[in-house]
Amino acid sequence: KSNTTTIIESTCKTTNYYKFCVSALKSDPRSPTADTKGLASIMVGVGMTNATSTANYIAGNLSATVKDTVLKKVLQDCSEKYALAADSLRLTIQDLDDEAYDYASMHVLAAQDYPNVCRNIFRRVKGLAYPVEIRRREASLRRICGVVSGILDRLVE
Amino acid sequence: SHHVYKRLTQSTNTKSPSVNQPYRTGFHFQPPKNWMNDPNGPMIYKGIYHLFYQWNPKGAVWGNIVWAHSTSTDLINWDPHPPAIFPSAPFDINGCWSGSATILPNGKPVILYTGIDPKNQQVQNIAEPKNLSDPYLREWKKSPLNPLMAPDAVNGINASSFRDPTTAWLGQDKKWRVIIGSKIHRRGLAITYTSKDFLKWEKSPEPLHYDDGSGMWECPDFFPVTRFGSNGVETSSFGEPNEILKHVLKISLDDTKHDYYTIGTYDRVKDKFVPDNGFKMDGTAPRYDYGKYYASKTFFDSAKNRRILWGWTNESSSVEDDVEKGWSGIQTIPRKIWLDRSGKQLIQWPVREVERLRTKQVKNLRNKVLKSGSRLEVYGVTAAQADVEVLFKVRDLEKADVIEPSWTDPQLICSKMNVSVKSGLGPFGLMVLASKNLEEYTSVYFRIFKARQNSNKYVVLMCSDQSRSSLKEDNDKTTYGAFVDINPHQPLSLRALIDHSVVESFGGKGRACITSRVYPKLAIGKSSHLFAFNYGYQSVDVLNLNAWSMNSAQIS
Repeated sequence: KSNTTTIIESTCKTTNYYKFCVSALKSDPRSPTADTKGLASIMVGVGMTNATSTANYIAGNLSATVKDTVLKKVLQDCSEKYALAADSLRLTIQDLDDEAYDYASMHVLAAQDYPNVCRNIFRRVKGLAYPVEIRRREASLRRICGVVSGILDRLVE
Repeated sequence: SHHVYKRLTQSTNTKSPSVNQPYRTGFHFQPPKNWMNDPNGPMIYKGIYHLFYQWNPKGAVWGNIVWAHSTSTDLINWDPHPPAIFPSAPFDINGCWSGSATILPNGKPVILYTGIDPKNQQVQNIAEPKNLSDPYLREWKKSPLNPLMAPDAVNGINASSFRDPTTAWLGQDKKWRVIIGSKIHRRGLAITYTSKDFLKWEKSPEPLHYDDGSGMWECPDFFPVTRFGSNGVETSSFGEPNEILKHVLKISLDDTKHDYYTIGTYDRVKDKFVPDNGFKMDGTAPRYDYGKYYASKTFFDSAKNRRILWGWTNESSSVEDDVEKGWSGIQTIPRKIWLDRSGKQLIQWPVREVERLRTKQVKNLRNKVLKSGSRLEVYGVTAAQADVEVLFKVRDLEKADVIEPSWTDPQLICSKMNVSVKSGLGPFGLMVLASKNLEEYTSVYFRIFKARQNSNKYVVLMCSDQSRSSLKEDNDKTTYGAFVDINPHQPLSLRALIDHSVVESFGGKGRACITSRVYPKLAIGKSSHLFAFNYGYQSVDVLNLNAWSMNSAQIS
C-alpha cells in the first residue's frame, strides 16, 4: 500500500461513511500530497460543490418545471438555504487554515443545519410535498458534512 | 488561533444526545443540542427577527460560550445560522458573554458585548455586520478599537463584575448612553458610559442607579414605556408631544437568580433613574416572572410597534440528566410587555404569533360549576403540548379566609399550604402534565383571601406547585407563588402554555407570570392529561375554558 492510501484510509476510519470518504478523497488529485488537515479541506470543498450544485438545481431545473407561485417561492427560499450552507463551508475552510478546528466543527454543524431549514419551509406550507430529489440531495450533503465532522474529530484529538 | 483551539477543547461533554427525548419542547426556542443561557442582542432588521444566545458548542453544561444565532419572520419558527460572535482576539479570547444590539439612526445594527480578556478581566466590545445587504447578518466583524470600555486603576471598576451592556439610547445632547451591570462590594450598580460616535466611550462619574446590599446586577435593561396603551416605544424615544413616558429599569440579581424591575422616571439632565414611590431596585422589587426565569432582555419591534421580552429558563433537572439528554436551557415564548393603566406594574402576554400554532380547539367547559372537591378532565387535547385559557368566577367572596398579617411572601404561602390544603376560596385552577391517576401532576391555581376581617379588600394568590410533578426524586421541585393585583369581583383568568417540560402560566391576563420546569415519568406524550379542579370549600364557576392542541414550531 502506498503511503497516501494509508493516510486516506486511516483518516476515513474515524468517519461514519468510510467507503464514501475513501472514494471521494481518492478521486481528488490533491489528496496524495495532503495531510489530515488538507484532506479535511478537500472534503469541505466537496461539500461546497455539492451544496452549490443543489442550490443551482433547485433555483434552475426544478423551479423551471413549476408554475405554482407558492411553490416557486418555497424553492427560491430553499435554494438560498443551500447557498448559505455552501457559505458556511467557506467559513469552515477559513477555520481550517487558521487551525481553529473547533470553529471549523461549529461551521460544519451550521452548514448541516441549512438543509433542515429547507425541509422545514416545505413543512410550513400545507399541502406541499417535499421533493424526492431534494431529500436525496439533503442526505448527500449531510453525509459529506458527517465525514468532515469525523475528520475534524481526529484533528482535535 | 492555536490558543483558541486549546481553550475550546476543554470539553465538558461530547456525548451525543439520547434518542428518547420526552422533555424536548415542541414550540419553545431551543438549539438542537447543548447548553444555552442568556438571550442576546434581540432585534428586528429589514423585517427579520434576530435572536442570539449564549451557547456552548461543546456540551450540555456551561462553558466555551459563543453567540449562537437564529432568525425568524414570526418569532415562533426559527432558522439557525452559524454562531455570529466567538472568541478570536485578546479582548474576547476567554469568552464572548452577553450583550445587546442597537439600531443606529442610519439603520445599521451594532452589538455591544462583554469579552473576557487574557487576564480574565471583563471588557466591553463592539461588533458590526460584515455585509449589511445580507438580511440574515450572518457574519460580524469586531472593531480593532476594542475593548471600548475596560476596568482600570483610574475608573476603579471591579474587573470581575463588569458585564452585559444594554441597548444604547440617544440623549438630548446627541450623545449615546449605555449602562453596564456591576458591583462594588455589596453595592449593585448600573454604570453609565456616554459616546458621540459609539466607539469612544467615557464613563460617567455617577451610575444611572445603584442599591447598597443587593450584590451584582447582571443583564440590566432600561427602556421607556408609554403611560397609556400597550404599544411599545423606541428605546431612545422622548415621547410624542402630550405623550407621557415612564421608564423601566430591570436587573438580574446574581444572588437570587431572579429578574426584578422598577418603574420610575428618567432624569435626562442628570442621567439618573428615580424609582416611583413604593419601588426599590433590590430583591423586594416586583419580578417579571415568579418561577424560573433569568437574564431577560427586551427590544422594540418597529414592525409591530410593541416591546418584546425574551427570557431564559434553565433546567430543574440534575446536571447528570442534562448531560444524558444532551441539552440544557430554553427561551420562554417571547412576550409583549407594557405598562398597566395603574402605572404600578407591567403586563406580559405571549406574542400573538404563538396562537397560529393552535390547532384543534376544545370547548367542553362553559358556564359549569366546579363544586368543592371536584375535578374535571379536559378531553380531546394533546395535553403535553397545549395552550389553555380558563376564566373563573367566584360567587361567595365573603366566604374567603382572612389572610394572616405575617403572610407577606407569596411563595412561602404556596409552599406551606400545598394544593391539598382547603381554604374558603381555593385552591382552584388547572392540573397540567398529569398522569391518569394523578401519581404525577403540576398544579397552577388561585387562592383568594380577605385582606382583613370585615374588609371588602381581597388578596389573590397564584401558585405553581411542582412538588408532585414527577416520580423522580432529584429534580428541583420548588413551589412558586405570586400575588395577582386583580379584584376578584371580576372573573379571574388563567392561561397556561404547556410544552412537555415547561409550563408558562399567566394569571389575571398577564399581571403575574410563573414559569416552571417539570420532568414527569408517567405523564409524558399521549399519557399526559389536563384537569380543571376546585379543592376549596366553596363552589367556583368556570365561565369558559378553551384548550388548544399546539402544533410544533419549526426550530431546527
